[in-house]
Amino acid sequence: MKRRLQRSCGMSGEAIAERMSGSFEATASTPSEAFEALYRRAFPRVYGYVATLLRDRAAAEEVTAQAFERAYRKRRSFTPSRGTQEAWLFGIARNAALDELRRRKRRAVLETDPEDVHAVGLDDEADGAIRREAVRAALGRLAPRERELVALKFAGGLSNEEIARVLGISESNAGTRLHRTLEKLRRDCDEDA
Amino acid sequence: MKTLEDALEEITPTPDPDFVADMEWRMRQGFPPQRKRRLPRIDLARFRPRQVAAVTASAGLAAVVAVALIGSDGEQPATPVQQQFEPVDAGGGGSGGEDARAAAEPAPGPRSPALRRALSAEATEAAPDLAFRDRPGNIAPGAEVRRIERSAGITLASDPDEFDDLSDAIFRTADRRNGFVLQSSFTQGEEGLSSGFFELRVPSAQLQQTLNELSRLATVRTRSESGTDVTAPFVSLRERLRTAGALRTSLLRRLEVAFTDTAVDSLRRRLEIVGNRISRLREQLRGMRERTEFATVVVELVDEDTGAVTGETDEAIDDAVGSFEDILNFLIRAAGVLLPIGLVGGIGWLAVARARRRARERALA
Repeated sequence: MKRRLQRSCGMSGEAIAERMSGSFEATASTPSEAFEALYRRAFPRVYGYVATLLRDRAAAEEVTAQAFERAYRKRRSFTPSRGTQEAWLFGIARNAALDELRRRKRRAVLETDPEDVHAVGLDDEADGAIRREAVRAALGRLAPRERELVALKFAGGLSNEEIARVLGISESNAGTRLHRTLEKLRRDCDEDA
Repeated sequence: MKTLEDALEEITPTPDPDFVADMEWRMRQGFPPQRKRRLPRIDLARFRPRQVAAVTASAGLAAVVAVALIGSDGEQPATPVQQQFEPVDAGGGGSGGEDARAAAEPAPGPRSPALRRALSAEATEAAPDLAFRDRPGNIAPGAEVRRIERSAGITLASDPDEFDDLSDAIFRTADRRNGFVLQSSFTQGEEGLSSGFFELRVPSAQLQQTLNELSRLATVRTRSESGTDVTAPFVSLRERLRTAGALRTSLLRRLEVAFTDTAVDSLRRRLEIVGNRISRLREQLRGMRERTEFATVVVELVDEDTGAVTGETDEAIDDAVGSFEDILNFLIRAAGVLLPIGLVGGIGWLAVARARRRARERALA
């Protein structure tokens, strides 16, 4: 977990420790500063999760901004006893993303792959690119709920406990679902290969 | 060979640099709202009929409870002043309709039951005349002399052994003030006399002096006074008596010149009716004059040992209990209104939250 967070967001060990334990008041002198710290370590992951879910870069930007705006407004309502700051923030982002999905009726669009302008070219790393394409294709074949699980885990970098909080299910259930989804994804990738 | 997990992390979309810069600016600005906040829209079509029916039924129930409570508020206990009208003139003829009604109004003020009883009897006696008080604006503003019925009550505390002496003193006071004792009584307890009751009539002009003298006889526990302006009914009675007298004179004149037996009989019957009415009006006028000229004073004697501290303590406890009851009644009424509203609100909120959650989850189905 720590390794993934450090790698995907460039977080320091102290920041990760804060994330695991703290309320806004406990991690900084004012709630605004604490929220800024949360923003800095969670923004790319929230965007990654929302973009994976929506498959639309413009909509993902709008929803991400909306999610942070809502979270900032409600930052005083956060209670550590109900989960980590990340779980709380991803819950808000999820609601905003699902509202957006409902509004735009994007179910059909979900089947298409997201555009990624920062993806590495095939020429640079041929094997890796092929592997990524296979994973992306297999991911596209997953059911939306399964894809959301994967997005929360790998784009969001959440723990199973946090995923359970976001989805409103038990931690063991989240772990089981995630394991099955990854197995399915692995099988799909192997078949493609 | 990269693992699946590594590949999944690598294909995660990353934010555009322009968007990152924009978000950075928003963060520094404290995330200003991008657009006007709107009230949350409730998509009624997404509610199931059962949910709608439950919310509607709850709202209806709350409304019924609220209306019932408000209705019960309107049915307050009877006010201290109760009015009753009774026919008192069965044979008064055409104009007798006006004086065929009477009102009974309990005298305000005294707390003692005995005093209340006495004043109530007084009021009942005066009832036929007091009907006029119920008419708005009937105050006879131009009357030269105001007619006022006065009454007072006083409770004296003393050693029961001194009740006899006190009784004599009360009689002497009434005599000295040109009044009289209408009735008196004593209550016998296990250890001798426990209380006494006197109803005095004293000239209204002597009321204050009488009360002052009575106050000096023993320790005053309570003292109350009240007055009712009966000028309007008094003037009205006098006018009706004058009219009845004029009618009688007229009938007598007509009787003198009546030729037929039928006319004579008819006039005699009418004279009899008018005569009765005049008698009744005179009686009422006399009673009213007496009541305005003589004030009623009710004197109660109580044992100083049983009344003093205990009485005040009882009164304080009664007040405290009364205040507590008032607060409790208010809280019960408030809870009766707020609880159903809160319940309906809570159910509605839960239903809306659940419906929204389901609708969101359907987006992933």
